[in-house]
Amino acid sequence: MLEIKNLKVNIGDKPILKGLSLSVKPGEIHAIMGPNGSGKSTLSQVLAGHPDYTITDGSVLFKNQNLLEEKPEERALKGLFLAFQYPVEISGVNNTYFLKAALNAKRKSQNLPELDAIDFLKLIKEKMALLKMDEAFLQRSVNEGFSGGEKKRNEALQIALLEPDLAILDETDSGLDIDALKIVAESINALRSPTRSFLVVTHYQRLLDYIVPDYVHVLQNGQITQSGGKELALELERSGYENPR
Amino acid sequence: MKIRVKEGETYSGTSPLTPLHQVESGVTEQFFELEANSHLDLVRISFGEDDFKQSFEVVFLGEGASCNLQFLDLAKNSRKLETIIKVKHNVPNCKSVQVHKGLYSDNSRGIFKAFIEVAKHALGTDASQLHRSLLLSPSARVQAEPHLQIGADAVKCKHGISIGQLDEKALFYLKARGLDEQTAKRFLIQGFAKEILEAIEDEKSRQELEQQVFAWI
Repeated sequence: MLEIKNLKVNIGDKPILKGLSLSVKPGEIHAIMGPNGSGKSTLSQVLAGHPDYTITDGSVLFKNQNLLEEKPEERALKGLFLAFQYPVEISGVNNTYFLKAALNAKRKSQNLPELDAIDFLKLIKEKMALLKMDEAFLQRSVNEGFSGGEKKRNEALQIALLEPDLAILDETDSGLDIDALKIVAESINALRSPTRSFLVVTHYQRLLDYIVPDYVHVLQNGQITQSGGKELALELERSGYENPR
Repeated sequence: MKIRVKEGETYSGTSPLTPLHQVESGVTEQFFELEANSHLDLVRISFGEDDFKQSFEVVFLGEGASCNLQFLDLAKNSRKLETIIKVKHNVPNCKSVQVHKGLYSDNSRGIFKAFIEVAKHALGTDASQLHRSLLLSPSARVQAEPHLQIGADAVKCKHGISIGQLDEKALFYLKARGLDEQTAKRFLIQGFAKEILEAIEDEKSRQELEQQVFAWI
């Protein structure tokens, strides 16, 4: 699914990722944990194609194709989804209109007929029920005036709607209270399948109680310094990032 | 053109529907006089091709009157579009709202001058003025000048100006959801224009204007 080899990334002249390698197979959930400033968010943003980063070395294959040459929208259409740490507020753009456009862009790329307004509303309401979201969200502008938790739910809604092959969750637990966290985690667990993978980027172990990873990697100073099973997250929680094991 | 809104009445003036093929050029001037407790709603959307200068003046003649002025200026190619809005608070306890938004692309040039004049005895005035522009090309220019002359003490007056480009973060967010560059930009521009369009109360006119504005984009 995702094959990252010796990835080196700069912001300006400053190296952030310093030779990161990671292999995610279909159906697997990988957690990337690390302290602030370790490069977690950079990894998420680079995979999604954010223009502010310079790749100085390494390669990334997504579904056996070179990801790094693709535009952000091409990556999305091929099945990569980044759930943003800070979902952007877009005033004047209706959430339904946006969600429908995103779904239809994807369907078009798959040579499927676009959904009309009625079919789309039916589908989105089903997905919203899954996330226990109020239908009033459909009438609002994209993320505008949403609370931190509402924004994260809106991201989870998009995962449920767009059904990506690889979903990257960048600090999805931040801003969520425990009830909302459970709901979001349930919706993501419901999407687990042998062909869909998740990369869960998080500072805290808490989210991993609900979305249980197959592998946990520790990212420190731009490199993966340790990898293990789900028990590694619990060890980190006890010992901190400074002295793992 | 001069319009006097009689005591207690409301005058609602949506933009004269200007189809894209119709030439909007030269100079136009409109004056509004508001008697006590009257109200003026004005939405003006300009998206012609030729150079154009439009000037609006609102004078409060009686207490308790109010106006809500909403403007959207759209200019592309080498169009020069100038909008002047004057609001004169000559009497106490009147309220004025001015919102002016501009979208400028290619080599177009926008000029926006807004005046709020509050007379010495016009206590209890509540006046606001907001300008927002988006420059859609590196060679588009806008000049925005707020002028506030406030003669009275116990008044509320506020103004704000912002001139910028399309929000890069928002663009990336939309692209990360599979929308191509052009569609993502169109979404943001439509979102920007929407606030003014929503000020049009009549559903049918709003939809017609919305379509024309979106076609312009």
